[in-house]
Amino acid sequence: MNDIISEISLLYELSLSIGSSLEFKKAAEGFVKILLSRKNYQHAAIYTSNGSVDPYASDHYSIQYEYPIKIKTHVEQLKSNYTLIHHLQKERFINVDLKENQYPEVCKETKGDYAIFKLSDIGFMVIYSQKESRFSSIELNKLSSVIEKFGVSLKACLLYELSKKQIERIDSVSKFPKQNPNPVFRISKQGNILFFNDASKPLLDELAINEKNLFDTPLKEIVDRVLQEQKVLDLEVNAKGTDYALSFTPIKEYGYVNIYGKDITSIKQATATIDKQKVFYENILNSLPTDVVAFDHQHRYTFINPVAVKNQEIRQWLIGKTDFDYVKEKNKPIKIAEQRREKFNNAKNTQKQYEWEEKVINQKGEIEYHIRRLSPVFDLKGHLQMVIGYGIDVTKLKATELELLKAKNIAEESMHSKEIFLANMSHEIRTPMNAILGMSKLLEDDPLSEKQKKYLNTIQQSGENLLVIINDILDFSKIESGKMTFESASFNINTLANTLIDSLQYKVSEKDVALYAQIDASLKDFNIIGDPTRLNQILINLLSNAIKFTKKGNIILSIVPLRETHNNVTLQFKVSDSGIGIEKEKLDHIFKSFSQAEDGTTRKYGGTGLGLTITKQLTTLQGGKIWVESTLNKGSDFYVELEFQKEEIPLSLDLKSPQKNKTQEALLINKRILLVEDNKINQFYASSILEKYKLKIDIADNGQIALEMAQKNTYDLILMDMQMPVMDGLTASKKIRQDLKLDWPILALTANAIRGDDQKCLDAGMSDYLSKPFEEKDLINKIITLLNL
Amino acid sequence: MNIHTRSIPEVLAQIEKLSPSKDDVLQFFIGEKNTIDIPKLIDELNKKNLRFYGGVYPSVIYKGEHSDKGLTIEKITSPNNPIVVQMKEGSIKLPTLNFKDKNSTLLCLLDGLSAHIAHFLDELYNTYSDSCTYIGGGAGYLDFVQKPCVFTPQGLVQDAAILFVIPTKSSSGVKHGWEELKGPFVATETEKNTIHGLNWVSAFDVYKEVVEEDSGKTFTQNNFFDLAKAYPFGIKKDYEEFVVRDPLLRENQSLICIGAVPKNSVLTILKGNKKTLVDAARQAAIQGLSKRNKNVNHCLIFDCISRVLFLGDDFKDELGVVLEELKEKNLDHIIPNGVLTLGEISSFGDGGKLEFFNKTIVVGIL
Repeated sequence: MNDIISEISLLYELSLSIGSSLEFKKAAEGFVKILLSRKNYQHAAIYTSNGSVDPYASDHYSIQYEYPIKIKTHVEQLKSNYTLIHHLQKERFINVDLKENQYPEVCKETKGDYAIFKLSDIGFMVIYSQKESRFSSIELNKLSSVIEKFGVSLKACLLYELSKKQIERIDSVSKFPKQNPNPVFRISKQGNILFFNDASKPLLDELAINEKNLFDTPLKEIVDRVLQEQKVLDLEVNAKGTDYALSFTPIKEYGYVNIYGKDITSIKQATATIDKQKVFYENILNSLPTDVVAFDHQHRYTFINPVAVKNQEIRQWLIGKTDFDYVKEKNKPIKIAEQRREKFNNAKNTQKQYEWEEKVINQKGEIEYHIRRLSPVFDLKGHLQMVIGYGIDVTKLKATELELLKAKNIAEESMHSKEIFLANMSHEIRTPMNAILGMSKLLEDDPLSEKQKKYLNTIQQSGENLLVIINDILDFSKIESGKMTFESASFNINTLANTLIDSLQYKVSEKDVALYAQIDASLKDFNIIGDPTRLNQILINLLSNAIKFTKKGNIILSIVPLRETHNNVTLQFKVSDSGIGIEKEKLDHIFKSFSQAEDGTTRKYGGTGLGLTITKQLTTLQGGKIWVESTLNKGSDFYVELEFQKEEIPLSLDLKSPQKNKTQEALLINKRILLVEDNKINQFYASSILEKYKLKIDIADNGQIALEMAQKNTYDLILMDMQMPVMDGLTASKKIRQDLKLDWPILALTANAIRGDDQKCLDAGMSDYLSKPFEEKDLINKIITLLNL
Repeated sequence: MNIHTRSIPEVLAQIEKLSPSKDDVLQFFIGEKNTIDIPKLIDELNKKNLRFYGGVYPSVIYKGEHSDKGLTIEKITSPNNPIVVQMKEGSIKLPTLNFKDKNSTLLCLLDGLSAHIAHFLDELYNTYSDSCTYIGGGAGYLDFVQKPCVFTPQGLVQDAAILFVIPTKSSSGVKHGWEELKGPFVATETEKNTIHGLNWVSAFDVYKEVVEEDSGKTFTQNNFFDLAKAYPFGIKKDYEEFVVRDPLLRENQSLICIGAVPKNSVLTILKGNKKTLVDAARQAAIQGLSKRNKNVNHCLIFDCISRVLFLGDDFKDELGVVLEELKEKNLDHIIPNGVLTLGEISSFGDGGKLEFFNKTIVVGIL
């Protein structure tokens, strides 16, 4: 009796452990652990069909719970056609005979005993006992009755969990419209609000207060219409300063309308801003005085401003069309469209701005010129976005340009005339001067009376003064016309200065004036690179002035290096005199053109008044500076600062004396010279010099005669005048070189001191040149050099 | 080796004598009245690079004696290191252990006063199930105040269990000798180890009625355990001995036991006497030795402290019968070593679900 009570109470305990939880795992755990503990079984596993856990799953069976998990006596998944499933349809439980194990997939152990119980219609439970004795049928029956209930409770758990999941899913789905940041609400056929989310509140509040303010027609009518037409209706409304786009969507089967809204305030604001900007830019484009158009990639107009096409209708019509449509419509030549297309393709293909001038005939039949420009615009990927076209009417500009061109030509012509005039002047003046000075020089060698010598001296002085004036005027005009150039030659400043001082000594020989140079000793050690002629000119001008204005005392040329680097040296030249000096007030003016300290100076001391102006120009054009410090009646100090490149003097350099020696002169004897010169006085002057050195001379009166003579005779050298009748010196020289193929040295005797003549001579094949009027020694030296003596 | 000392140098000297090899792990059982400085001992052992574990128990057993001041050291050969696991509610992550072909024993020394023992043992069995046999016992102090009581080289801890795999399969005998007095009673209201209700009325009322009637004594304010130690509860199991639950304290109308009492479990009030208990000890020894009497190295005894409290001086007979049975099997060279515990751990026989027992003797033969 007590045993039965014990049995029952044990079953009671097991039964009460059923349904301890609605959670499957807890419910299973509560029962299985008690079962294993009280019955001393080793393992239990609960299989359920997947379909009972998830209605969308396969119909396989898998383990939902087992204890202890360590004992893996099963396979994870069993197919629904597994024999065991089939057997359990008929039996409440199966005691597995391990000797003929039909279910090795779930009963892996070889010792002990297995019992498999059906769990309602959700699956089955496998129990394993390690005991050697098998389950008794009484035990299995007792367990079966309890496990049957357990199965039902587990089914309830599964259903509960399933429904919980479903509820969660529905709940989460239902949160979508609730959480939607946009208004969502639902209105019944009767016009009642059935659902609304938080975002709808401002709209619905407005609806409650003032429906008219929100919709033009009553909401009820809108709902009716939407339901009747079964079509989505889109409306835009404003509630409390917010703009909404509302979509009334009919839900036919339930007879209500869902309204999906969207806050479009920012979009509207953005659109308004864009519109405003559009107007702003269009205003700018439209008010531009140029044609502005835009094309798509197929050369179709996408924008045209009113300057490009005045007529608004045509403008609108042209959008989306091409120039071919335009010329067809306007009966204009198709060539215009073809040309424009060609330019468009050019800009598009080269990806570069393209500009050209288009000549068109306007409605009045007048010719107009337009500058057109096409600018292709590409996106970040390099695809053509559009081409912007600009056009500007340049007809008037074109006319002005033509006028200007004409004026320029005239000006150039006049300039050219001036140059020719200057050249001619130079030639015309120098030629007689050459004769005057040359002849008077030759006359010196003849026996003259004291009176004659005095006359001759006056002639020579006046001639030299006149030559200085002429040279000043020519230099000045050269500077004025910007044609002054400077050469770069290497020279020694020490030598230059000393030679200069020596050459001027004669001018002070009759005065009580000492002229000398003070040169910094370091300057002997290197040459400088610059224009020695122009430097000489600067210093002569200053020294000549000093000599001119100093009656007694000293005139000193001092040269010191002010700044010196490895490559460059800045020299300061100072010409000090103890002459009449300059008044303070006049100091500012003395470097100006045609200015001397006193108006009467020119008359008293001579000169053009251009000397200092030229000196200043020559200094500043070489990057230097010039100034004067002076005290009236005490004297003046003229300063010049110039920078030069330095050049070391090569030790082996053979410094040739500018003076040719007697041996060289002796070699001149019997050399045959052809003198080409039209001017009889000059013929006489030149031949007088040449004869003095026992040279043989033939004279040709012009280039033509010279050519003939050159063909007949052989000469060692030709002296060639430039300006001659019949054939000038340049032409004759060219022909001697090119036609006669003669390589005799040709020395040009040029009166043209205008820049460019030197180069012209060399270009014509001449060997060297000598400006007229020339001095005897210069001519002889040139000849010696050219004959390589 | 049993030594009555609390001197660390002396302990270390004794260890020298044992001359443990690298393959040996030292097992320390320390009686609760032995006041050795355990953290310091751990430090010293660590300095010597020794592998060890141990527990503080109400008393230690060595040969036929037990002592609450004693300290026993036993050398157990195993390649495995003892592992400490924290006992707690919820999921407990247990390590993968090195069990060889199910021929291993998992020794488990745990804090006998932890509230998480039942759950921990459930998890233990769930994880290792039949890969090994289990033996062990609850450590702690008889004043029932929870204190750190188990240790490894990592330190002395509480609310923890030490797991140590011995590469030998053990054979255990589990018996208690308590017999049915009255039942069944359904534990209608319980909470872990507290029984609030029996048969839908307050637990103490039911218990009191049965115990007072049988003993002829009356429960007073202060004598609960004196009377209750002779009347434990048994949880009914099919085909096996009751799992005994020792009512330790009374709290109002509720009874607090060592070990969990599941709700709706069927309980019986048990009663024992010297003979049945000592017989049970013999049966346990016989059961343990029945499957294993060759290549025996150790005889480990986990015996409930409350059996000592019940048997008093006669407890020496309980240990005596174990010695007799060892001698019977010609294993008298094997010196039983063990502890008096706060709860015993074993699986019934060679397998089956792991249980936490009270008032039971577990004799493990290794």
